[in-house]
Amino acid sequence: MPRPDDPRPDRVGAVTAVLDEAASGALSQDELVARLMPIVYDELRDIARAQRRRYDVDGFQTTALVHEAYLRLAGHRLVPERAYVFAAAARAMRNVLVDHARRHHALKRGGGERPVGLTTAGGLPDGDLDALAERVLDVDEALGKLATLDERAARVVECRYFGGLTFEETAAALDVSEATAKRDWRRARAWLHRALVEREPDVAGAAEGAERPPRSDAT
Amino acid sequence: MPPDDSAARWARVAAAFDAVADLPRAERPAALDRLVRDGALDGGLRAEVESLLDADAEAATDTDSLDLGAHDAAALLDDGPVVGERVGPWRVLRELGRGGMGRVDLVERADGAYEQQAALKRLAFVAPSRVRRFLRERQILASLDHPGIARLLDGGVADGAPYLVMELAEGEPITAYADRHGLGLRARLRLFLQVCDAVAYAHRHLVVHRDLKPSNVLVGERGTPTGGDAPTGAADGVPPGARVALLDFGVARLLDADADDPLTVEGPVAPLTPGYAAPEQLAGGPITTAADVWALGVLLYELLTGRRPIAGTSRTGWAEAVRTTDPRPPSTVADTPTDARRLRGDLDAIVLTALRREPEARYASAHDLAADLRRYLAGEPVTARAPSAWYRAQRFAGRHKTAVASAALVLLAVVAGGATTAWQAREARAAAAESTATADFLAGIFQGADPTAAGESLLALDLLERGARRIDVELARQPAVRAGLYLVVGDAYLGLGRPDSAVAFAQRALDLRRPDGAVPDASEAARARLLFARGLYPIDPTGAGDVFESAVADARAVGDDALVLDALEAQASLAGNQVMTPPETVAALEEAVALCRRLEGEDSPRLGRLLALLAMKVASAHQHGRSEPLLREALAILPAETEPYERSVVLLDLASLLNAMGRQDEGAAAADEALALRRRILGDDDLRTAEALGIRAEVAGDGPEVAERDARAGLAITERAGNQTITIELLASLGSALMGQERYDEAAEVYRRRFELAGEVLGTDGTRYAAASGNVGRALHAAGRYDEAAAAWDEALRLTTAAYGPESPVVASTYVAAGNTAEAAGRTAEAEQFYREAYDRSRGFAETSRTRAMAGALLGRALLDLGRPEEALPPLRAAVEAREALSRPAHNFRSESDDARAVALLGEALLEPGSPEAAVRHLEAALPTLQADLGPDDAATVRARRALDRARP
Repeated sequence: MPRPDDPRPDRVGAVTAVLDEAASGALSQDELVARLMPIVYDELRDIARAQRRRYDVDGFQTTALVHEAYLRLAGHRLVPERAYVFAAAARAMRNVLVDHARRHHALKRGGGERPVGLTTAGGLPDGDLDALAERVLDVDEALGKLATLDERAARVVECRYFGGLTFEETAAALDVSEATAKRDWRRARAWLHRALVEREPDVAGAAEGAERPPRSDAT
Repeated sequence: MPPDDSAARWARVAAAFDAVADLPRAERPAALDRLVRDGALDGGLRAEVESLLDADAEAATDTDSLDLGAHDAAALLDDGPVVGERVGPWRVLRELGRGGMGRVDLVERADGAYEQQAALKRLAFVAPSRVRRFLRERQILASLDHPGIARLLDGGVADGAPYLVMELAEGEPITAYADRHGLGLRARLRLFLQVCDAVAYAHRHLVVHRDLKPSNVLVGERGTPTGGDAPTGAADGVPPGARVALLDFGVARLLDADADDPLTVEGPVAPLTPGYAAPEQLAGGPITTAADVWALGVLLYELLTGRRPIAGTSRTGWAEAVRTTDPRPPSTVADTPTDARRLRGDLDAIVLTALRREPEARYASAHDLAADLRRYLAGEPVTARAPSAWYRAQRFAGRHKTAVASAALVLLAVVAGGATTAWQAREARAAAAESTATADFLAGIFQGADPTAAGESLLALDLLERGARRIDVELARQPAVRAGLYLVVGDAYLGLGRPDSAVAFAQRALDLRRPDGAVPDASEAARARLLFARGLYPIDPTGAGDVFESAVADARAVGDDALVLDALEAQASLAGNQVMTPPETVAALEEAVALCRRLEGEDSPRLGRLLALLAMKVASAHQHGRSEPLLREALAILPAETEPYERSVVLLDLASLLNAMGRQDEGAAAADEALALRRRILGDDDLRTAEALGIRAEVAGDGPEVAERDARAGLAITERAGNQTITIELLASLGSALMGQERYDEAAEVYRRRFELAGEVLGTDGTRYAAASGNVGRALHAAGRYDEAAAAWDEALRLTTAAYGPESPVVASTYVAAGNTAEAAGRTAEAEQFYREAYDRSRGFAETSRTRAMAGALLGRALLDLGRPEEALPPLRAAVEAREALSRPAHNFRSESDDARAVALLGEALLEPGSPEAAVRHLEAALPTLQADLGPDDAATVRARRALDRARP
């Protein structure tokens, strides 16, 4: 997986340093997230660039990055006590993505400069990026609400949706059984689906046009 | 709600959800019931759990519900181009835009070979295996040279990923442009026509766009078109210089799964734009120009209404909606009544034709769509106005290569409405008669149609009159063609409800003489005779009977079995009731059935229709036993998938028959299926659905309350539609449902209304009006309003006698009913007179006639009550005999209590003349059955017991 021109050795070093600090107990969860964010961001941006240039996407590299660093630290064994780093990485990823989505959104809505060429270039799937940004913001917001009801289920979604973690990793990161992680995921997914569908008339006129209630029979 | 409380509620909901979600769906309600019983849930929480379970099911099938793909995340984080980056021979200047499919950069040629700036689009996520095909096909795309299409300048592979370089097209999406300039309806259509023309150009070059949507259809004000002769848009308020440019022509295909066919491809499609992709694209079916027609339909819909035709809240939800719902006509979603009025009719029809779910039912290409829009703008009739006509014409033209002539002929016949069946019989001939003369002639009619004529039938009549005039002028030297056309035109007139004109044209065809003086060929003459008969029938049914006879004879003489079949079918279905006896009609239909079996095969829908018709005629020829197998065979031929309507007709006939035979449960099942079919194909608001509701109500398989509801639902439909014929049927069902609930006064009211309506609609001299009178009497009698009932019977007797003839069983049973009323009112002598009328008539009836058995028994009883036992003996003996005949296994109408009633009465009659042994024997035989079946307190039982007491010393 490492590429010849891989800039990541530095970053793996940085992650390792953060992890060392965390292992010594000197970092709170929030601090851990804050430390991971710039590293995560750099990594994601590199992936984006690579994707644009090379058009091959291997999946979320950042978890792989954290994996790699973590495994170095932990000596190739997934130690439950340290798995929370995955959770922190997922939180970091969420923050990065939500930041970008918000920025994109602001640019589009906020009277500021419209991104050049949205009307002159075309050829893009209809507002895909706008939709994506909105989607990320919606999920983030809904997840915030879910967290007030069901903190653990919200964390499971964060690990899986934003962090790209497997159920096994999610379970380890949150220190619950895999069965619990799966149950939480299913329940949270249903809750979020409902919340997202309710707020999203994503086709023009859906609210009053094509989905008007059927005419009731006059009898 | 305080947060603590909602967290606590959520904990209960979550626990219940976890406990139930893994159970099979069918077991969940019971599990939830248990949780409610145990107090773990209350009603509100239960609803919450159920709503989550629904969401769970949706989320499980909604693939993108919670899946943030890696490339999505990367797209969000992509910080933009590296200015000066080289892609092939191009140099990046800045970013133009981006999306999930990739980014578009403004570029210029690094080597100066091309002066203008261009748009470079990189196609992410293209498998290397597709790159080869991409390189091959970009040549085809590069050959598209049309002012409305952004040209493909270059394409290649850089760093392993394909890219395309396109002409830079300035502008904004067509929908945004139209809104920003406040364009009116006609301007929008003009602009849209530019889009159609560009797409039509590509279709001619066998390139399908596959991803048409507003962001790919840009409008800019380009004063001087870059090439070609762009249509000027100044008309109708389009800003001068407004030009459409389509982007990404055929690009979607480059990203698609491998396929070799240049125009169509099967298999899953990679990039779809929800909202615009056609149903077959979603289903992975073959993609043809029809997919673009669909997308154009969506675009047009959006331009006209500001909305998309089909809503959906997610990609999968939308896909499901496209598969299952038909778009509402644009006029029904318009914002203002004015808009609605302008969209209603032609534009509705055009848009919905483009948005037909079946690709072959849409316009065949963008060109055809544009042609119809131009007709609309020019005020000419549009082809989409009769969608089924269009559909059939398309399909027909596909089958027969007589092209324009055939399609136009079908259209002519089909626009005319009822002419379809006749047409089908004729289509082979029309195809054979293809000639340039026919084609040119018909093309002439259609082009010259008067655009101001309003309404379909006026339009069709106008076409026909034009056609009729031109037949003589332009085809003077071609009598053979002329004869054929006279028949087509006459047929169409018949379909339009102008039988007099049909007859006139049939006559003209018959009168045609060839230049050499010979008569037209015998086959043509036989056809003309048949048309003549069909046209004459509504004017003079009796006279038509003879003409039908000779049409059938002509057809036989020609030896054309198909024509014999046509003639027999028309004769039996039209003239059958009036001029042929039921056995003659049955014989004609039997022959037609045999011919149809041979000519069209065992599974022909027409055979199904003929069998159903035969079954009905057999029933009216009092051969009830034969009806059911015929109807069942018809059902087996007519599958619900392909012949839903014909099947529903047969099912309703079967339901009525089974109901009349007392097999109510089976009848109800048939009526249920018929109703479901009609609801599916015709909707809830169609008259034919109302008809099915009426028959289901008549069968009343779910009891009189449900029957009442069915009948009232049907009546609501007929009232909205202003239809009276079906209202008459439904009122009968409603009356019978009310009778079943013992609401006799209301029933009498309903029957009275029905009787009056039947008089208005059907005339006062027919059998149906006469039959309707009887129900009024029945209901009044049941309500105990004997004087009014007696008056009703007087009227019924007068009407039935006139309509059915004095010897009819209907008249006899009406006398019986009148006698019942008189007897109930205590007027025994009057009752005796009525019963005697019935009894006298019934002696001519079959020995198994129930009227005969009943009339004899009732007359005998009345005579006994009047103290005339000797006179009572003959009718009572006849009644007992008739009951014995009825009880034989062959007839199977045995009713033990009725038998016993008659026997007891006979015993009572025997008592008085002094045959006590015979009297006792009869009474002792009857009494146990009366006790058991009717109860000890029934009037008949009491009467028999008293008679027995008197007989025994």
